[in-house]
Amino acid sequence: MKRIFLFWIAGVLLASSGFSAENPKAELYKKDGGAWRVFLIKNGGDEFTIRLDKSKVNRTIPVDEIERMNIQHPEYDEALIQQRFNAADYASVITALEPVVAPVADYMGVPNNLQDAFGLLMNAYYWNGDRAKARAAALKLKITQDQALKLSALNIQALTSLATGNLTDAEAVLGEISDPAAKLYLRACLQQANQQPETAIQTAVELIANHPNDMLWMPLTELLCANLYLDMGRTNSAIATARQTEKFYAGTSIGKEAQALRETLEKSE
Amino acid sequence: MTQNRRIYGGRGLRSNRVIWTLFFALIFSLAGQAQIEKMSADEILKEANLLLMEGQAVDAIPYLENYLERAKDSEDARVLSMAQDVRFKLGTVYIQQKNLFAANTQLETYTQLRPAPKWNEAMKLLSTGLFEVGDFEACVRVTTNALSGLPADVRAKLEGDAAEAAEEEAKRIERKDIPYGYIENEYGELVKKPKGTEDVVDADPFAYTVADLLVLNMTLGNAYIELGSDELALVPFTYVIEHTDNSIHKGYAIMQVVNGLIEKKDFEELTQWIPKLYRTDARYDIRVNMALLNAAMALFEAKEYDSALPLYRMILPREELINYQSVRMWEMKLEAEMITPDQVPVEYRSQMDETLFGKKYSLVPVEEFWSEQERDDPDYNKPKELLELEALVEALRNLPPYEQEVLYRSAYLYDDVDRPWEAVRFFDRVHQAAPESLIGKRSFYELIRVLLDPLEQRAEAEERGFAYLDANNAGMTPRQIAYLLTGFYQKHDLMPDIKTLLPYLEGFEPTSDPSIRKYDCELYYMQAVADLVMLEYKVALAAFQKVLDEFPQSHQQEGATYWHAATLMFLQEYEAALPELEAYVKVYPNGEWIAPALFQSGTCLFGLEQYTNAFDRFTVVIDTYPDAKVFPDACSLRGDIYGSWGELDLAVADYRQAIASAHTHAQDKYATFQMAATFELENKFDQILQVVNDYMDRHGDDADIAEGIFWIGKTKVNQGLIDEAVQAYFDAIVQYGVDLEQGGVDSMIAELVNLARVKMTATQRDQLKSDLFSVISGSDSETLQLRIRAMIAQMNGTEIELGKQLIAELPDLGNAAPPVLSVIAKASFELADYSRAEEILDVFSEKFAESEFMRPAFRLRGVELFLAGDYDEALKLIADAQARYGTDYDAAWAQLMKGEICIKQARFDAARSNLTAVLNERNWRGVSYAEATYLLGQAEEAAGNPLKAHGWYQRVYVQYKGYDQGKWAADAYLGSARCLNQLGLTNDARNTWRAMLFDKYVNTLPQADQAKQALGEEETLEISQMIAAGMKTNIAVTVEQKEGE
Repeated sequence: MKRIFLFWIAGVLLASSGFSAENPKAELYKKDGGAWRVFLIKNGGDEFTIRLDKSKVNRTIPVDEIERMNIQHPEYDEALIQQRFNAADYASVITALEPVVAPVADYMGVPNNLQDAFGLLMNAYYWNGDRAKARAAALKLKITQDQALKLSALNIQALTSLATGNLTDAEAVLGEISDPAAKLYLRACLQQANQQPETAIQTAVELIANHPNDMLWMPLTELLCANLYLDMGRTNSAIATARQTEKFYAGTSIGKEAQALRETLEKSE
Repeated sequence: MTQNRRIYGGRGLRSNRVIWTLFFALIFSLAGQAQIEKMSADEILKEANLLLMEGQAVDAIPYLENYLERAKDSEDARVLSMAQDVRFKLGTVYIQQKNLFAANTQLETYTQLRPAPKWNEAMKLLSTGLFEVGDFEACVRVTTNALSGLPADVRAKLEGDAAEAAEEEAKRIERKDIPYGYIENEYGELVKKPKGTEDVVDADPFAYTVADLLVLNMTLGNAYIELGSDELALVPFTYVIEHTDNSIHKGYAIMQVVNGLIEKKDFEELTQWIPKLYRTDARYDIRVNMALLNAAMALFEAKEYDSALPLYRMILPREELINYQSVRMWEMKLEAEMITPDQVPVEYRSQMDETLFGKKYSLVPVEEFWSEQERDDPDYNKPKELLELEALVEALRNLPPYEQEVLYRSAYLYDDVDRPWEAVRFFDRVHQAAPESLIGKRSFYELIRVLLDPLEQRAEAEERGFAYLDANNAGMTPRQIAYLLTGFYQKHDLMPDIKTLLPYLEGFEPTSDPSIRKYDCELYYMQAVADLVMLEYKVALAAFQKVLDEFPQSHQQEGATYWHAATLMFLQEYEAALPELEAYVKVYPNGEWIAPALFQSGTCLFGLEQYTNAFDRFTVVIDTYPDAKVFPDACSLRGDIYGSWGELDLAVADYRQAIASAHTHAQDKYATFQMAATFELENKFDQILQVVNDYMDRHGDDADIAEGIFWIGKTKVNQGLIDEAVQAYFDAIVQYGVDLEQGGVDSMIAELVNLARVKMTATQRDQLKSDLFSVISGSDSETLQLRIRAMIAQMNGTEIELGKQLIAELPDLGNAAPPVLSVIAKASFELADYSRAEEILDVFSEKFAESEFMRPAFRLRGVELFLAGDYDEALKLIADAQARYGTDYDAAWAQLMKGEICIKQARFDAARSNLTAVLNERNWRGVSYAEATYLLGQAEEAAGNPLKAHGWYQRVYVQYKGYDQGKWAADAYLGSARCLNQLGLTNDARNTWRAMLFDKYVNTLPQADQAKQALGEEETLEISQMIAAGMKTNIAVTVEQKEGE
């Protein structure tokens, strides 16, 4: 009877602690040099609730004491998924990555082995039209210290704001960005949202002229230019720009997007 | 002297020392040779090896050579093997001594004889040796042999030896019982095999290492280049690019591959290959950048624009490259311990931290590149890579600037592929960076060009273009800018704007440069064309004459000749125009305007009433130029001549031909309604209806419905079918009148009003009005209601009253059709209320730009601007009005106002010219003549010519006294008296006032009060009494006589 009671007590405690066998496992490396194998229970903002692998008690650790994490995850073919993303097959990227990273989405602010995958999923959501999911992912990822990922997250946040007409938020995001190319790109997007395609394209051209080898922002900017020409009613220029974007960035998702745009425009002509 | 002796003595002593040294060397050499001869072969080898081990390679040479001499005839395998080994060593010693010819001989012999266990090494050394001595063909032969692998016999021997050695080793290990995983070290101790080595099996232990292959491929590539076979060099250099870690070597190889692909014109390969550089640091390599520049230019020249653009984007600006490489050079100096970190300039330190972290380049150890010779060099302690880099940076600094060229070509490419905004901003950058350079000026031209076409960014183009013209008046570029602006204005039918460029043209610094003069000629020609289009025929005539006079035999000689003649014709100066047109036909029998010239000459003959000649000329056009744009016009005018001759069937045939070949709606319309008029002569009403209906079917909504319905109505009237005609108009008005944009309805209203006045009885009119009132009350359409109210007002002659009513009633003119707006404009004019002038004209311009009812709106706005003193805007409006209405009767105000503005601006010649033009236009006979004559008087008076002014005033009150209720005559009397007073002819002035009071046309007008005041009460009373008594003055009699004339 006592034994049953103890099991019951343990069950209640486990339930109240939020622990379950489904909690993700990770190797947690601390800034003081220590390392733990843990279950990730909860992200409390400034601290994580975790449970050591061999322990039955939850504990918390301040986020700023964590150096990085190696999160255990189902296997996935990274190269294949990247290939699919490049081919603009966003739905299959989402199908493949969601089971891998969605359960640990709350922990993406801390350096870990799944951040790149999460960034890819965020972008796949955006290009697949899942703006809400893309935005939610961006808000989680933008606190990361990885500058490239942070920038990508801020970009998605701003773009989803623009897509929903929330220009104030987009302006605010623009203020958070220091990368000059990214700033120009987002400013051009903002001007486009403000129905100023001619101003926007001149901002975009400033990026093209000053950062011609920026492989992160150039493809996006050229695709944006194609759309801006379309906004101006210059279909031929839009087709020409889309065609060049498709050619210059062949084998990338933006190349594919440009191809789709060009084909649509050519059919409608 | 002592000094000299010491010097000479010293020199002698030194010379003797050299001679003695050489002597002893020879003696020792001979002695040494003799000693070697006495030694056995084994002793010789032993001595040579000893010397080599001691680093005395030079001393070993006689021994090695002697051994080979002794062994040359031997067939003993051991001796042959030893000789080969000696030959290889001798080859390497010669290389160390930089005696490459001797080295090559030994190594080549080595590779040809057997055994040759070091065949690979020998071939590699031979390859570089042959390259160094410049024997490139042999180098290619040897290197390709080396790369194709070991000869079969050499490989078999090596494999046999290796197997034997392995077997021996296995036995040895077995004997010593060495456990698995252990090896014997150099001291015979058992140690564990280093981790990772035990399972590695080399795929081919006798093949070259990657390092060797890099040397061989680099050598082979360079040899091919030296032989001019750039294409063949692609494969070896590609190998280097793919395998080397040395960034300088990689950069060099990339440059060679790019050059090779350009030479091969393999742009597809080039395009696919180069973008890979995007992601590597090789793009910071100076030679790579230069190669990219070459490649981009080659692609550009080959019109492979899509491929060239990414390359131009990759080319880094010179300063960026130098900065990057400067950081590298400082790093190298640090690595070579040539400097301490604190000696690095501050501006490079932060960048170094970045690049040193995970260094992106490899440094070759310093020692490897040092030689005895280099130690004498001031740079001897610099790594070779650093020296190479310094040379490259220096070469880059000395290169002419290329950044602007890159930007310019990028802009050109964007422009070519129809990405105009990119093109504009890139051209702008080039111009901003180097505004005075040739490329900067060319870029400015292109910038303005793209802004205007295709972007149509008129505001920016004008702002920048005119600012440029304000600051520059010499050379080609200002002319080009003026040309672009003129072209844009011409394309958009903005003729008055073209004229704003004339002062700039006149301010251009004259030149004898033919290419610039060609621009000047073209610009003045375009000015003349603008004058012509603006109906400023006299100005145009002078402008074309200027082109002919100042630019004789120019590229526009033919055009100016034709248009000069055509302008004369437009001025109806047929006698002057005809010989010029005929001269054109003679000089340019195949000219661009040959058909129009023939046609216009026919028109001149027509105007000169030489109908037969005109007929012949039109026939030439019809027979010779069936595709000409004037062909339908020639048909129509010949049809008119046939018609005048009573040849109605032939006339109709020509009209039919004109309709069939019409290029424009106007040509079709003219022939259609002329044909209708011809049918009318024969009362062929059915044909009229047929031809008009066909016309309306052909053009649908674009047809001139008003004209069509007019003819249909008129025909029905002629057929006596008044009711049908009225009904046709009425139905059409009710049907289409709700639509604001149906301009034809408004013309029908005018026709129906006319019909009501002329053909209808009072009862019928009342019925019609009643029906119209019913339509008003039964319709919800404000547009239709307003139209019908305007129509009823016209029928009642109460337009002004309605206009006044509508001014108050309609705060918004959105639903007002042209007749309604016209009524409001007329009422406003009557009331001198200009408050809505701009609004009314704007509504017309935006909605009814082609409406005939727009005329009063133009005038209303024109007067408003004139009264406000805004002469520039008024002149623009006048130009617009004249472009539309030309010399139509009710457009005379525009020409008159132009003259009046000139008077206000004290431009008296222009005033005279403009006002005289009114008197030369027959359409403007009547009140406009009176006003023009009066204004000519004003012009002369303002110009200080009271006598001439008096003449004009006198002409007004003599010739035009009855016009405009005597207004002009009255003003002219007063003007005349003023002028006579100025001339001191007070008596004549007094007589003029007297004549004014006798003149029944003016003596009751307010102006007469001035005459009365001048003459005084007594004389005024006297004149009144004389008039009452039926008396007439001499002056009045004279006036009446002149009227009679």
